[in-house]
Amino acid sequence: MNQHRSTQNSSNDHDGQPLGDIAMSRRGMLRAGGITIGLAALLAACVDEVSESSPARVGEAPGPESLPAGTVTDGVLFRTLASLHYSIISAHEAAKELGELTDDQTAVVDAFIAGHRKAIATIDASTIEAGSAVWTCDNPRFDRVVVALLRDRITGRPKQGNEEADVPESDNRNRDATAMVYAMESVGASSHQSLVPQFSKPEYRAATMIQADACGRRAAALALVINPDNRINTTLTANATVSEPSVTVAVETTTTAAQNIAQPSEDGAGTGGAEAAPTIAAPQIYYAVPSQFGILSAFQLAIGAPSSGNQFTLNIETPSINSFVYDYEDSCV
Amino acid sequence: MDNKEAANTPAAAQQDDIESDAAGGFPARRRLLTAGFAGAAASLLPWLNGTASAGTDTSTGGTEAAAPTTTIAPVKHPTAADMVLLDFAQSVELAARDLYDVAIDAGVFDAAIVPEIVAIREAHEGYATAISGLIGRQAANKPNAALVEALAGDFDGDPDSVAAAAAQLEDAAVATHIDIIGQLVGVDGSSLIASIVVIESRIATLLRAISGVEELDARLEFDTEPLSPTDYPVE
Repeated sequence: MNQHRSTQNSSNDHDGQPLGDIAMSRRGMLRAGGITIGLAALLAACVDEVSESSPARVGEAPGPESLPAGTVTDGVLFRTLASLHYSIISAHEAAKELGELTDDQTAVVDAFIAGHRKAIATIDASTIEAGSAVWTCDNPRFDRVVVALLRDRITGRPKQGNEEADVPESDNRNRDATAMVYAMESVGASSHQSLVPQFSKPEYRAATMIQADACGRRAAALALVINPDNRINTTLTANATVSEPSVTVAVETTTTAAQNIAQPSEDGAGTGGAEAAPTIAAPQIYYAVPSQFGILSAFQLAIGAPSSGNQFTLNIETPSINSFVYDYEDSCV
Repeated sequence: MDNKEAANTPAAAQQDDIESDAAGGFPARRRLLTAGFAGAAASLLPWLNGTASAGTDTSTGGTEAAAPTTTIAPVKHPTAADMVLLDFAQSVELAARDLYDVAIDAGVFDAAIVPEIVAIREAHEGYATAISGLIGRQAANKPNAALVEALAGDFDGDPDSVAAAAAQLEDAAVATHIDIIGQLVGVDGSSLIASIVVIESRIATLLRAISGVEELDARLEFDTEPLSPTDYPVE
């Protein structure tokens, strides 16, 4: 005990002693703790919050370039729509080039191309009004995943990559070319429709719907050129007669046909339902009025020579994030 | 005796008194405790600040922090002004349904075409029902009587002329709906009306073909003024 007391006394009178010889006391602990916490609070309040996630770099190598920010603006949407019209024109030109069209059919397609050029002029004006630069060429992604693929199905080509067989040449180029033109017009209409909720201003929504209307009219007109009897989807007419008691003409009521998904449907043109693959015996039918409402699901286009009785079917989607023409894209390479 | 006892010795108390005097009367231990507590409280400030921000974020649905967008999210549901516009659109659709009823009841069209005319009639009723579903109880669910009265005479007679009149009606509906889309604020209403427009435009082209129009340009023709609520008020 005397030794302890002696130590305590020496801690209260430590002038001239080495620091390591000073004993730790409760008072010292409290003092040191308070000062430490206070300093920590001061530092925490003053420090800048930096969230640096990249690792440290060594050497002179240039840093990796990050992708520019793809901001979806009204201008980007208009640029995308303009690019889509350019791609549709390319598809129509391909139909004229490869489709063995009749003179009447060629005249129809030429009229459609003229309509798309007028649409592009209108869309370009809207693009500038929305603060973006006009886009003057095809949609790169749409051309790569749709137009090029459709051309291959008409012309045929050797197998590529991990494909198991060559793509055969179309057995009926005229059928496939007109179907491609119909699909392009239908996708044009649904693309304009699909972007309506994405535009920020009501006037831009109305502007895009003017072009949707024009595309829809062209699709309907072409359906009637392909076959004048393909007026209204038979599913609609079948359903319509069910709920209309005032009709005096007796019409066969096939109410379950539209709901029986196991039964092969006559409808083909992108109705969005579960469709049987078009076959040689039941080719895809393109109606002037394919559905009751404009639908935004993928357009299902059957094209090319049948294989094992079925045609190849391509799902054509409306533009989305990966096919938008952003403002940072400034060249048509 | 251990260190704890040593700290409570008279010598330690004397040291406390000395420090207490130097600090203006407060014991040094109390001062240290106060400083420590204040420091701890200050160190919690950044954490408390972060908690407050999260609370704010939660109250706004977390959208501010989640998406660094530069644009304002559009309004979804119809506004009060939208309701008036949609009500007018619905009245036009129900008027179209009634006008097709005139033609059907009069037996204007051949039996082969009647199912298609009925399908068009049903489509218009479906559009009205969809609009009603969007605007709810405020839906008038009444046809535009002025429009029916103005056009009813055109829907009875020669099939070609009736089909042409019907095509004109579809064009008017398309023009009206596009005009309405240009005024609607809520995108739910815009999207619905847009899905109607793309089919009514196709119906107009079909009806021109049924009316006997052969030329492509004439089938694609569309130069119609929108209907005005002033001329055709909703009851």
